[in-house]
Amino acid sequence: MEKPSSWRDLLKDIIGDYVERERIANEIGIRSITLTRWTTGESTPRPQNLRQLVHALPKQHRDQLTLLLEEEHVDLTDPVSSEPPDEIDYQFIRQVFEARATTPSNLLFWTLCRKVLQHALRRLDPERIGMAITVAQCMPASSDGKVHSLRERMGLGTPPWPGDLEQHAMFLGAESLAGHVVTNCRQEVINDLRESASLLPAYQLEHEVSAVAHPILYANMVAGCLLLSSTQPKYFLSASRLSLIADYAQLIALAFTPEQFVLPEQIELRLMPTAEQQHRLFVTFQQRILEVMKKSLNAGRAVTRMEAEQIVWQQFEEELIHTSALSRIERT
Amino acid sequence: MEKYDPARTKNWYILGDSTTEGVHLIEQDVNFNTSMGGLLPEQSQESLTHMSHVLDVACGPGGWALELAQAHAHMQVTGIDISSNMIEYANAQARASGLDNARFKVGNITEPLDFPNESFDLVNARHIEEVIPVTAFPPLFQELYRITRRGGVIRITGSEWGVTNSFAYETLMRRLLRASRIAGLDFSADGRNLGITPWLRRFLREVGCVNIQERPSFLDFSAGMAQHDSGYRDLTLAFELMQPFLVGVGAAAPQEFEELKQRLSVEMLENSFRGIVYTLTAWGQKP
Repeated sequence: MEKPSSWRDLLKDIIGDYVERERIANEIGIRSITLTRWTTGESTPRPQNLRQLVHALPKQHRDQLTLLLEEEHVDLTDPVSSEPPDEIDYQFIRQVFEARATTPSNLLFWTLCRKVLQHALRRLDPERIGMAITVAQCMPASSDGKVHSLRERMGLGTPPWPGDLEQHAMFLGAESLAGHVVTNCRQEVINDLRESASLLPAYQLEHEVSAVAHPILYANMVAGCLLLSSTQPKYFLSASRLSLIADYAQLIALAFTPEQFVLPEQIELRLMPTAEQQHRLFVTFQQRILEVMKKSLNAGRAVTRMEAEQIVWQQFEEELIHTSALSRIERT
Repeated sequence: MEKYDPARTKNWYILGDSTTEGVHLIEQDVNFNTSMGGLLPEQSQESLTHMSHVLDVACGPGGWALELAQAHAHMQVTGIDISSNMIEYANAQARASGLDNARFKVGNITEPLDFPNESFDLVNARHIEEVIPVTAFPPLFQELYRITRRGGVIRITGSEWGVTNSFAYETLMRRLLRASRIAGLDFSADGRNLGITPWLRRFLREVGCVNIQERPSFLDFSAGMAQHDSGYRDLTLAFELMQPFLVGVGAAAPQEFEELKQRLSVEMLENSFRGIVYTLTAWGQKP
């Protein structure tokens, strides 16, 4: 083979292998077409992408690429000082601790979760090829002392998903990846939801091709899970990306109070109805909150909006479990 | 939450600089960008290609600047803000995204700016009416003009705080406007509105800008509209965070404030709720 004369030529040779092209694109967090565009000069990578590219290549190609980049005086230095490839920047972790220490309790969950999700989304999908990150929380235990479902409480996304996923939130039960992860208290990955080979339970949401969930743990108890979806297959194959996700789940755990964690043996998830069935019920959400707040105001013991929401979510959970059980009986 | 005390902190911002406010501002940016039609919707594609150095003054946690750097890799975007908390927040987000073309540093815009003459092709300032007193505007615009290149653009966006059919919202806004007047943040003749928007063109003209243009936009957070839920969350947080300001300047009593917030929660849930915030962007060129 002729010796490549530029870094673009070298990259072109390397990504001639389809599998290698997909692997490198996944490692960097870009579409494979972007790699091709770099080779033709249609687009130029940012210095951060070039550093990731060097890191993603096997040793023999890595040295050659670095040499060619130096010959072409391509600047790989980073004035902002980039983060370690598989760790969360300590400066950010320190900010999270500080926020936890100084934020009033009524704003703590929203502030910490949102802050960590904003950072995670930028870090895990820097080129915005499509990701959704959701915090799913265990619903309070029912009268039998068991947790029967999870509720997607907060989520952020990059296109094709909306920026704020709250409108798309739903209850998750035993039929979901999140439910499986919370029940077993360990991280699980589905590399391609289009294939039926996976033994793990999962919905396939619109646009979702691969998914991972990591439990939110404290003192051997669980409060829910961090759920990530990607538009790309095998996006969560990379060990360093999975390690980052585990770290973000640890940070999210700081947003929960100790009382929100339950023992694994208290998790007894039920099957929840489809997203369509759930959203048909959710259209009454605001009306129901209004009723709860007005009723409590008339009774002389006003509840806050947050308390009213919690009451309505518990009503919804009961109704959905009932609906799901009825439709199973009808099918049998 | 920290007491509102601009004489000591030199920070007039009415919602403070807590982490909650950092997160809130990032979310608010998304809402405003949506209602305004993008990051720089009034600038032509051709003029954008010629803008290589951009400054965002009072950038907060960097929401607008980060989005601009992400969308236009050829631009070098700088953000300054008086709050070191906000600057740390913005730098953490930039590092997470691997954005090499966005940088943030602490700077007080009521003092001479630490940039050489004619450094930027575009200088952007959004909602600084909540950040600096009225008396600081004329010297700031002199500084913005000094650091803008010939042919470059100064762009300013301001908002009036909205009209609704909610008794609680209107009462809270009256308290807020009274507090703003006491703190020297109010441009209006009688305190019935903030009064910033009619001034934008004049600030640009007085420093010598030419080709001045204006573009209005509005954010409709009425019941049933796409931005109702985010508008509700935005307001809930804003009222929570502005309590030290309102109580600190003596414009509201804590008990009354709590009751109004509770009432607002109910009124915004009603199907009949209507509310709109008006925004104006003005921009001019340095000849």
